[in-house]
Amino acid sequence: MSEPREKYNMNTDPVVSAVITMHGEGILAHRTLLSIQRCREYAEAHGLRTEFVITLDNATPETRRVVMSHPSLRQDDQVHEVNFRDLSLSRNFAIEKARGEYVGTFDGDDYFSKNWIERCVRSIEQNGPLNIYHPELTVAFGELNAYWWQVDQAGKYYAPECLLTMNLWNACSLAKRSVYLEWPYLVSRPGESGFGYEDWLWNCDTIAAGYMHRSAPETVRFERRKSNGSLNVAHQRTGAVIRPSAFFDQL
Amino acid sequence: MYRQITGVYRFIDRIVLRRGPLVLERTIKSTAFRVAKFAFPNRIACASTELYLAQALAHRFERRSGASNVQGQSPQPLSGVRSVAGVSIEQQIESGNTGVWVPPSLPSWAASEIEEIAATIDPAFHAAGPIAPRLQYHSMPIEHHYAGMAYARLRRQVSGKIDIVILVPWLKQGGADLGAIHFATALHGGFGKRVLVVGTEAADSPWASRLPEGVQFLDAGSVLAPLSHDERRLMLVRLMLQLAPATIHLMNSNLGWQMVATHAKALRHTTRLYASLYCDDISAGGHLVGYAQEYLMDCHEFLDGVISDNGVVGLEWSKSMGIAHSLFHVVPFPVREPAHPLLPALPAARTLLWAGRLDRQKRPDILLAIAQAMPEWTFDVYGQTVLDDESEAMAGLRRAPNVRLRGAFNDFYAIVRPDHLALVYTTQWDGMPNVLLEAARAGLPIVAPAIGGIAEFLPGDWLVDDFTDADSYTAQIRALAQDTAERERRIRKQTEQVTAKHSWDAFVAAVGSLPDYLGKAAPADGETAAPQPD
Repeated sequence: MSEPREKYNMNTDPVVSAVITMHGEGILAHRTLLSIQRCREYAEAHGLRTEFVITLDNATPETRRVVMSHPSLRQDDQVHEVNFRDLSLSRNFAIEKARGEYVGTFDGDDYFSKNWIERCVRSIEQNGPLNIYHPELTVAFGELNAYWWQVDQAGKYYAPECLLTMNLWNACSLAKRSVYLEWPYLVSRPGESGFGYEDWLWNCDTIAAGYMHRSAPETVRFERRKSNGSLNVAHQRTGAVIRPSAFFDQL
Repeated sequence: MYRQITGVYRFIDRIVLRRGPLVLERTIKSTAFRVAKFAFPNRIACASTELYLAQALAHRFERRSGASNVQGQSPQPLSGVRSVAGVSIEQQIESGNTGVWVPPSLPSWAASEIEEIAATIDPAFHAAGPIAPRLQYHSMPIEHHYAGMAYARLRRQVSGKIDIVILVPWLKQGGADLGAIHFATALHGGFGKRVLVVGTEAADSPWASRLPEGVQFLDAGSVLAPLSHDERRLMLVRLMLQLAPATIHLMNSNLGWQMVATHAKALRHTTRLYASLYCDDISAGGHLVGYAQEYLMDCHEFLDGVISDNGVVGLEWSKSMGIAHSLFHVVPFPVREPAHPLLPALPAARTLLWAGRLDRQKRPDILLAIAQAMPEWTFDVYGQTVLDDESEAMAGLRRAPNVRLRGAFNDFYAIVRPDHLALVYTTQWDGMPNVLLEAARAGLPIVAPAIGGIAEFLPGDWLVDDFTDADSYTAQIRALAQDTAERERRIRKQTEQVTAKHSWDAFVAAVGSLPDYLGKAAPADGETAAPQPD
């Protein structure tokens, strides 16, 4: 359980770090940051001070311009220019830099329901630090327009065997920062290593370590689907699979 | 009785179970399955409650969705479910009343959020915009656990750490199957390796019992059979990644080749990859086919070695595909020792032995031509008939007065008789046929074409240059019959050949000298003698 809200100084100590990874999102990053700012305002209205920890990983000039000049950025938000050329390493770097007790991971071109941060933190406070939260509902837009509910590991629709061929939760999650420090994302360069789907592996490894993947009630992630350039497409083309995981020895 | 009961069950299923909560359906069907399995053991094909439930629930989903779309490794939710877009409330109610499943609409809290997003961030989410009217419901992937269940079942059957996995289609009567057993036996007995042999096709493996104690055999084929093509491959690669053997050896497993072709990079982090290939096959249209032709060009850079029982094919593939010759290694198979001493041939033997599968490869039409050209000789023909019995060659062999079709055989040494002058071996393509090794070991002269590894095994002037040339066969046979000294010389030479190159110890030594095949921890002593297989 987390400490009472009164402990935090709303001026200095972030409770939540919104880890936002940027690379080549360009102008799409603008509205994404507006969306995350909306989450931040809602969270802070409920006493949860939130910082942005943004990585510009070998970012395009347009992405850098959009991020650096964004009206949502505050003085104490963090923007890091890095050159990992890898989503996992960027995310790990940002998590290292994060100051919040909680970390939420955000893709640079998605939108989120305004209650996303607040609802996750409250759920962890209520159900314990072993819970990792994902949005209850995903709404895909762009190349695919669809919606689906995500599985709750504590619910009746969870079957661990599904994880052999399907990733039940995407990389959008919120949990105690300590979870991400204990289980950093592994590098995923499918073309070189044959291993990919870092979020899928992370889900499996954390389950094997005793964590629970839950869905935060009445939260939505709006996931932008592109016709090309998607990591998923790259993974499928190269025949990538996830690395060995203790999870598959426990099935 | 069974029919009446299943009729009632189906009625209840249709009216009650499929429409009720998932949990209720699971519970009732699980109980029903157990009762049925007990009452009608021969009628229920499904092996376990879990599998039955998976199938039943998958069917339920397919019925509901009107489509089935297993996406394999794709981490996306199942798609293919009917859209609610354009379906009016009245239509939904009507569909609901008629029992047709209607996908759930967006909940009100999500709809409100979309409106807010449209108003404050992205107008494309407006009700009349390009997104909202097109939103389709996709099911969460709750029915995709069959492959995982199959995986878990197989994973639990493998005990302990595995050093080497041999992937075979099955283990039944056949030269390649015998070869796999030889490798497993040598690795286990000669080098102390923990060996797992995996049968990847849905077929019986009666020869699994020939594996030595301590070598595990996993009959994965029957468990994999109900899965999709992609699921089978994904399941196998997951099993291999989790077991992380130091070596995987492909021995004619198509699924194994597909796995290497798609996932070699991932596998090679912990595992070295070898493949056994013996020869090209030739299609009915005369084209080269087989695993080498299908996979070698794409996979050679991921393989640590290609192992063959002869050196001819490596040269051919190196020449025709440009693959480095250093990739190819020769490991001659050992010859089996006869259980009992064999009687020497009679000086005036006038019978010829033919033994093999009567299929397109072994050219029974050439055999027929030889038999017709030598009416004064008798031909004992052993082997399973694969060709159509009505084919010209088979009909001709059946009619030929000097041919005795004796059917399938299990033990070559048991069919060799003192009145056999020679083994006549006809073939169009081949590696190094085991039957020739056994003929040599039995002291029976061989008349065969200069095909594949045969050209390495016997001197060129003993061989038939053109495999279609029946006259060359008859000339070789007559030379043997007329020249006793020459016959003795050939028998002696053949015996020396199998003794020197095809002994068990020579085989174990060759396995031990395969570069990196045994891994770093392997003893370097390739001379270690291993117990022979039965």
